[in-house]
Amino acid sequence: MNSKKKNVDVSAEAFVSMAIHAGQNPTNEVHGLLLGSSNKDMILVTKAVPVCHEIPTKPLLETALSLASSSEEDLVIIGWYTAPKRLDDKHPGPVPLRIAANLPTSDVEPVLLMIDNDALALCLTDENPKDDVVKGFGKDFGQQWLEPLSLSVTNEKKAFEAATSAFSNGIPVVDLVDHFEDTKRDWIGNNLLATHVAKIVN
Amino acid sequence: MQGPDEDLPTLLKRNDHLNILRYLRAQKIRDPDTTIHHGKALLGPNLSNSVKGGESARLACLEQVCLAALDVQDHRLSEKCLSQLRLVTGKEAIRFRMLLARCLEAAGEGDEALAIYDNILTTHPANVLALKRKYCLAEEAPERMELLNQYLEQNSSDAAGWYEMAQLRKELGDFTGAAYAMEEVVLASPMDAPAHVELAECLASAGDYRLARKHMTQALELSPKNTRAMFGLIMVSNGYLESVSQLGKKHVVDEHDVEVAKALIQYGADKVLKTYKGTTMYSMVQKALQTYTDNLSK
Repeated sequence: MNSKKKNVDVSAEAFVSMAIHAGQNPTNEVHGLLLGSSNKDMILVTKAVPVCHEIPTKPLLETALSLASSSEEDLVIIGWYTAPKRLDDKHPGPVPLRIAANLPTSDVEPVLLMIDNDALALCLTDENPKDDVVKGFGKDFGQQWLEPLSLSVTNEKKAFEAATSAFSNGIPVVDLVDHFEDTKRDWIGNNLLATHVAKIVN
Repeated sequence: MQGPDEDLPTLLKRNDHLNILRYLRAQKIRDPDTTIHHGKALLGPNLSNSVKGGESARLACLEQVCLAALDVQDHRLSEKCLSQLRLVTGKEAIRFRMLLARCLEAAGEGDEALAIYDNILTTHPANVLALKRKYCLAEEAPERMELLNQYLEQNSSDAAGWYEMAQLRKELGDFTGAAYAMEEVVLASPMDAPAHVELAECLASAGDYRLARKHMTQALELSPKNTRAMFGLIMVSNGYLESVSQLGKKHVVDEHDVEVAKALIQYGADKVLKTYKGTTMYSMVQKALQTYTDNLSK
């Protein structure tokens, strides 16, 4: 069995979406789905779909999976992202670990991305973070998603710039829980943010 | 605590400093800027002015302004408030020591604050505030669990405490424990639809789909337009059907119950489609729900 871990590449749009989702919920943990694709060597995270700013439960997760799988996107579920509640939490909690282990990804081992809140705070305030803002984890020998993966953000400088700009301009990210409170709010597309990112990155 | 009869805009218009502070206290409004502004105007630059309502009213305002000062990290102001309070109550008074501990917490001196709370609890083990502050200072989950359990043993009717326990249990992935705590919350607020939804979701996460279904249905009865409950009803009813289908041949399946679950899935799906009709998400939602409604005929 080939146990070589794949590298992870996160698109600028996915990075900004995760960053703003975490940044606009500073006192809660946030969670979301990762959509993308994979090839022999890489897992490509194309889109981050925000799910909640609370601890996810099974019905909420199943609803998110069902809706995301049925979206028009030509992408598949490839992982889960989380940002811990506390500033100094550097490891994913038991719930995102369990989710990552049970995600119904078709033929790729799911990836778990975790946001480093300290580094994110520096990124969103236009300072240079010393550590990586996003860290990737794969399955380890103990069947836990704690094996660090090599991760890069496409066009990282522009992605950081887009995140800082979106945060300071108050461009919101709507997660599924927000959408349930007001179904008029655009959830899966988050078009306002997508347009803003495209303007800066392209 | 009963506040003044008038509303806040009226009091603000009249610049009625004392009653503004009373209003904020009674309504538990956390607005440090307004509190400090009107507190300083009422108590004077040295915070030593007397107040209509007597010394007890003045002390209440001093405490309120002190806590507001901590919120905005104005430690000089909070120290002034503490000094004024100490002049009246003395340094051994619990009232003064509790406020001192809060100031120590804000200054990052958690250990010193904890020592004060522990000391207070030795002589006053039912001091609810000290117990709560100890819980807030705790960092590791096992310690937080123990302190919250201690608090709830003495205050078993505190629904907010049970809700906090539910969140703590969920953080640890213990959905069975979270459901137990949420049941207390629902007992205290049986007409609260979001509480029923949260309980249902915890129950489903713990594997009890049958009871989850009941609470999700109850949530929809209380709040017919609750979209989260609509989807939740589909998911928990489907979860029930899946769990029943995995039972061995020795288990007797309640066929009526199965039919009810199927009917609830259809009911939930109809409500969801009605909600999303005419929106950009309609086709996506319709496609997602087909998986659940197609299975009903099997």
